[in-house]
Amino acid sequence: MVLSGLSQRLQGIIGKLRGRGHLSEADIKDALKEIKLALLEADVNYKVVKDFVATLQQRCQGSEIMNSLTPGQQVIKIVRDELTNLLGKDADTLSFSKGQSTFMLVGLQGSGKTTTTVKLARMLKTKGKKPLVISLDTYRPAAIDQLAIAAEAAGIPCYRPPGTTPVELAKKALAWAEDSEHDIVFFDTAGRMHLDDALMEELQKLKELIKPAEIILVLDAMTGQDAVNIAEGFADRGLVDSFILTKLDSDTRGGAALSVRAVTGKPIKYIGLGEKTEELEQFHPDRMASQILGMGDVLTLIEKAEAAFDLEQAAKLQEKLRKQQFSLQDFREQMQQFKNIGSMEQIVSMLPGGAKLGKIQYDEREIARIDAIIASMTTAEKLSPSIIDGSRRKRIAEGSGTSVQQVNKLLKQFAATQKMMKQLDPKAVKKGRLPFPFKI
Amino acid sequence: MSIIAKISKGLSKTREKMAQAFQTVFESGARDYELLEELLLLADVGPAVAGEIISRVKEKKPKDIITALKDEVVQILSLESADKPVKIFVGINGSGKTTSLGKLCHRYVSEGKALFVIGTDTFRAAADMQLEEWCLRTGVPYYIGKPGSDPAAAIFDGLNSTAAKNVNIILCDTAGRLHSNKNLMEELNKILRVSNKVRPDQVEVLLVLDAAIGQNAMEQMDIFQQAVQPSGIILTKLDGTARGGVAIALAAKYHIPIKYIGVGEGLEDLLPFSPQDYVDSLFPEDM
Repeated sequence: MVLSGLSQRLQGIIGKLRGRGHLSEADIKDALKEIKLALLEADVNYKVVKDFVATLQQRCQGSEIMNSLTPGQQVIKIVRDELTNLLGKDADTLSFSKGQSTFMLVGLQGSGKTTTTVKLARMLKTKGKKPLVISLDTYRPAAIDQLAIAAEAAGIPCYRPPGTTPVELAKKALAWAEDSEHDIVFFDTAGRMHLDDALMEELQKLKELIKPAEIILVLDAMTGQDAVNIAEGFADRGLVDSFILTKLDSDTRGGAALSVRAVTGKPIKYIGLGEKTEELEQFHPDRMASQILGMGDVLTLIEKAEAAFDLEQAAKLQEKLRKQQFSLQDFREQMQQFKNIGSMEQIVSMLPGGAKLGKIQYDEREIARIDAIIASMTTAEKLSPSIIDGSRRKRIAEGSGTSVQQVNKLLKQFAATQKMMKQLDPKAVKKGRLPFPFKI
Repeated sequence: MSIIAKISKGLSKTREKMAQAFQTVFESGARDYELLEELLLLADVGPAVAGEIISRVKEKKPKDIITALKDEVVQILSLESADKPVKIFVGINGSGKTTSLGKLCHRYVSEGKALFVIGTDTFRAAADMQLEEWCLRTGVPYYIGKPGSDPAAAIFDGLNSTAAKNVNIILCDTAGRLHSNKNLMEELNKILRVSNKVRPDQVEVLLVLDAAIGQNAMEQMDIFQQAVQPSGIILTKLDGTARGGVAIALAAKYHIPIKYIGVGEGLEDLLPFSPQDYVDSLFPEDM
């Protein structure tokens, strides 16, 4: 899960406070000291940590705590508030200009600009926009090809302007895009060090030329103490309006995530969570804070479930449930939709207390196995599993590469689910208040 | 430009910071070990190793703290490992595997070595073209797996194709992968197993690390260590503000030598690692 190391430590510290009827000043002092160490070890910038702990201390000294009936809970609330503040308070999306909006993605080599460009374009496309992507990376071998290929795979139009220098390319591209139907244009730039004066000046030239609605600094979430220097290096030249953090699925210590906003005052807007094009999410400071403190992130889970489930199918399913015609075929479809939400590990990490479970050893192949078993049944069998006798079981087991025991287990599970369905209040079913119709 | 000058240039930001800091230590006159420790921490050396270095320096009760510190660090960094002809480059996404491989091609070619390159990044868009471009630029023959094909098959075919050729060194690129992705780490292990089968005892794994990642490098090392036991490290992007102190932490904990460091964008900017040069350029002489 995201930032698991830091999360586990902070939860440990907070766990000690939770439910305490009385907190002495020494208790609070100890807790703050531990929080400070935990943040430092997570590579959060030294100054940021100092300020953060000072604010906590100030708020914890107030009457807020002492007069509270549950001082422990109160401290936890303060930590959560301040952590949210540190991360940026409100969730923010891209700001568009009137008419055509242009965006520049900038950053160090290997931070993930090209991948993120395609991810962003894809996200906006699903929201009905007409994005265009253009690479200005004339330096790294095959960089322009990389964007073109990745964009094509994601169904995003990519324009390849003629020319040899980034400025030349940008000019041609702007002229071309002006007459096009695209309302959003992303410019992917070459990776550069914030210390490289020549390349930074080039970026400033590009900025003047492109006049972007926003310059997005793409930052590797794994960056250590250096994250702050990089962010400041770009910010000092007016080359950052917002951040996208990448590779947050890497078990990073998270120093960058917790430092850059505080140092530059610019918001983190999106986070990259995987190699696939759809693995980009809006950044919600409050949810991230909750997740770090082990309070779960049920909101994101619900959103993901909504995105993964097909409304039409859900309506059909309701109808079937009402008429008590839930078949193995439906069971299988449900299972596949569930899989669309994410891996078991991701789902569990979003549940309150999920992080405490640590790395659960869940066999993702189990779903594939169930899938295979159901696929090996005839239509008649799927509709009325009761006809599945010994010889059918054997055939199904062989057909799906499983064992008779596994087939039995699935049939038992399904029978139990069906029984549970029958006990459901038909009115609740009609209103759509449904529990997941199966247990894994 | 001499090697030391080059590293120094790459590490100039690091030096500035360090120089300031040491200046303060000196002026304090009181042998302020605590401050020294904090400095090492800020340089990404990490708490455990910083503490260890300081305590060892303290023990010696040196007249000259800086020289003692340097000696200590050089000692930590002085490690050796056998050089093997088949080198597999591994690392997380964007650490600089392909670029380092390209620069190394240039170095070996200019040394007159007979090279061969195998590309197994069949996942990332245009990865094959990027590597091909490097091979064409440096004039090195290559075999690159087709996009979407099995990387282990690519390395198998690539290694077999060199059987009849007269090559001294084979450089193999792999797709970037996050250490937290178990399946991809297993894929990497398979690539290594296959390579060892085709070329027993001739394969070594080089981990390419971005110097800017700070203490995250330790976790990466840990997991790559379990999966493919790297025998050397290539530390890239030392020309940023990154302090590169994590090199010291890695050497102290894992005893795996740093073989090359990347200090710039140029073709020549991948240098063999020398502990003494590195330390000399990290800690300025004139303090």
